[in-house]
Amino acid sequence: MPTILVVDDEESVCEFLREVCEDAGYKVQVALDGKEALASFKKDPPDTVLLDIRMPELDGMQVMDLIHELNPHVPVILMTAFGTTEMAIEAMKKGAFD
Amino acid sequence: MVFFKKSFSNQIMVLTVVLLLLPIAITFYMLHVIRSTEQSMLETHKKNLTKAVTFLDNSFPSTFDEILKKHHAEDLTRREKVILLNRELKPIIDQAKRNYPGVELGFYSLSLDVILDGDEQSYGENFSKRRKEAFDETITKNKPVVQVFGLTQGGQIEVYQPLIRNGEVIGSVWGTENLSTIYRRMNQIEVDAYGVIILGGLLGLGGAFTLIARLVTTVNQVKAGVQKLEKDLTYVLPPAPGEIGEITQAINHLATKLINAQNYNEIILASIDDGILAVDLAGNIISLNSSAMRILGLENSCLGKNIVDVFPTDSPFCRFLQDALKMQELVKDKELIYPSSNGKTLHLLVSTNLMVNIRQEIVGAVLTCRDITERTLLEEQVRRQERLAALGKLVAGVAHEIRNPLTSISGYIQYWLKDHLPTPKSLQIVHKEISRVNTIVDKLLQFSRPATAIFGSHDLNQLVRRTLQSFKDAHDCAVEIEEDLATGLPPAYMDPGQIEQVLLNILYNASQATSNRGKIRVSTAYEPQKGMLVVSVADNGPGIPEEVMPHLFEPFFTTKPKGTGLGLAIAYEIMQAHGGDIQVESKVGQGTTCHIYLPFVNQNAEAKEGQGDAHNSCGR
Repeated sequence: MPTILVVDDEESVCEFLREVCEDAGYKVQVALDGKEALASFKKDPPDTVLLDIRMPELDGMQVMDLIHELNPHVPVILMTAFGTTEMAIEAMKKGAFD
Repeated sequence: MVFFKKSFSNQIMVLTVVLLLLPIAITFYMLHVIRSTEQSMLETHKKNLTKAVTFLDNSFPSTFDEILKKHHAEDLTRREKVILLNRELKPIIDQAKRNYPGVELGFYSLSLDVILDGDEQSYGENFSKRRKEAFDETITKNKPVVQVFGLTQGGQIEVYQPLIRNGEVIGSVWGTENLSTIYRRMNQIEVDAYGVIILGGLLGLGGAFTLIARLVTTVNQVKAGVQKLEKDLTYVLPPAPGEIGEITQAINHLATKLINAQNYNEIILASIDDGILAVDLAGNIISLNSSAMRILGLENSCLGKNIVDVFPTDSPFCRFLQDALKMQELVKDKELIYPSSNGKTLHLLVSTNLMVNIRQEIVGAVLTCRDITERTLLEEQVRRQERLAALGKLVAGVAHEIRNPLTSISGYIQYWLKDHLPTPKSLQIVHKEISRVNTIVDKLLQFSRPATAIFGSHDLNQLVRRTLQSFKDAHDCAVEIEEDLATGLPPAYMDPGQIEQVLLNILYNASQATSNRGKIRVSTAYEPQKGMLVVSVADNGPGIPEEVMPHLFEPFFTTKPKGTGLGLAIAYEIMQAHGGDIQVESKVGQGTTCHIYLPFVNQNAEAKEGQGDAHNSCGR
């Protein structure tokens, strides 16, 4: 079963995504911040990462870069409530999958 | 005339003495000379006359009777005898007269009682009583008699000598000399002398007066020059002789120095942006720089005028200066709204001060006014920008805060719309998120409209203890809380509920910082510098980084993942409303201390001490 790593500082969002993804048949790992995300990624590398951009301390972009250092081929999907076109473009440039 | 290098007053004295004594001395001397000349002249003539008389005496060895006998004239009439005697004696007398020119000589016969002067025509009987007396005197006393007569009596010298023959006085020999010409000449000399003396005196006095006049003129010139200098410092005193000249030179140099100093002063004053207005003790304007003219709407012609004449009756500037002069009441950085002459309203900062000279005497007052209109405007603008920025941040923060919960709510709803059943867990999450939104809205409302505070006089320590108790009850954390409450503090002027809220917030922050295993120290005290009571909460946590410090009280600023970021912002507003303050001291690695300042109630007065104006427009 493919695993998805969900990273968001909002617990409710994580829970929501967990429900949706599990219902869709995926195994879900949840991390509430960048550090947790990286630790989880190293311990149990997921197949995809759903990553919130705006987080305290380590933000989404930085986490993505670090994840790609560990495994450049993992698709990272960035989520945000603040989507701007510039941000999208920059994210794509940096290697986000979507 | 050159004044010698001696003391001026000595010169004057010497001059005066010389001028006075010299002519007097000369006069006396001249008189003395004249008198003695007269005396000696008289003496000479007297001697001469005496010699002449003696000579005549000696040239006539015989007696009158002998002559008569020789000529057998004993029986002639008296008159014939006299004629005869005269004839006989004439050659002798003439001879004597030739030897002594200018002298009248003659004999006097006692027996005949007649003058015999060799003149046959005269009978010598008509001679004055005076002469008779003189003859008698010389005969009876057997001594020469000398008589001197001044110019008014004929100017004569007369010498009478007894004529002694064979031991018997037979008459007298006499001689007279008319000295009137000599007297006249002497008088002339005297007159000349007096003339010379007077002339000399006049010349001397004239000279003295001229010198003095010149001196006085020079002094007056200098005086006039100095008076001109008073009005116009560029006037140069003309040179004068001697020491006065040195004085004028010194004065000219002084004037130049004054001009230079004045110029500098004027330049300095003109370069200052602040308006400077100086008045003397009577309130007359003695200095007015260009900035003052610009700000106060005055002109150069106002110099010298009195402030009551230059300013309108109710002018605050007039009042400030008068207060300063009359009562030594000064204003410092007083803010004033003043309508300027060109219609604009100026915001001014006014100060007054007293002018004191080297001798510590008050000589006037000075008023400085600074135009802070622009500054105030800029400050207003900045404040407005800050407020707008804060508001912007606030709005962004709120939006963000609300969007977060909405994300999941919306997500779930979309999910459920796609034919999925809501699970109890998910419903609970949605419920929780909605509550969260409500809480945020509540807090926001609280922030924008803080509950009306009810102020009263309350015991601060009591409140602190109560709050600490409820905190300990609510959060049974392992943090050690130490109390250090000062005694004897006056009651605080506050709303206890709101202050409790503030304290709880601070305590919560502190306990979070020490992550439940540290030490918190709570103390109360009186802070004299601020004139307020202070509650301090110190923790030994990690401290707050420098870059975070300026943002502490910003709404929605938080370093905690779960914080609303409104706690300290609300605390700040509460403290502002109390007229107090909240301040945070922190250093990374050294912990954090939070102070809240509260005004206290002065138990002796009715007014509240230390209470700042809660609605201060110059505001915090």
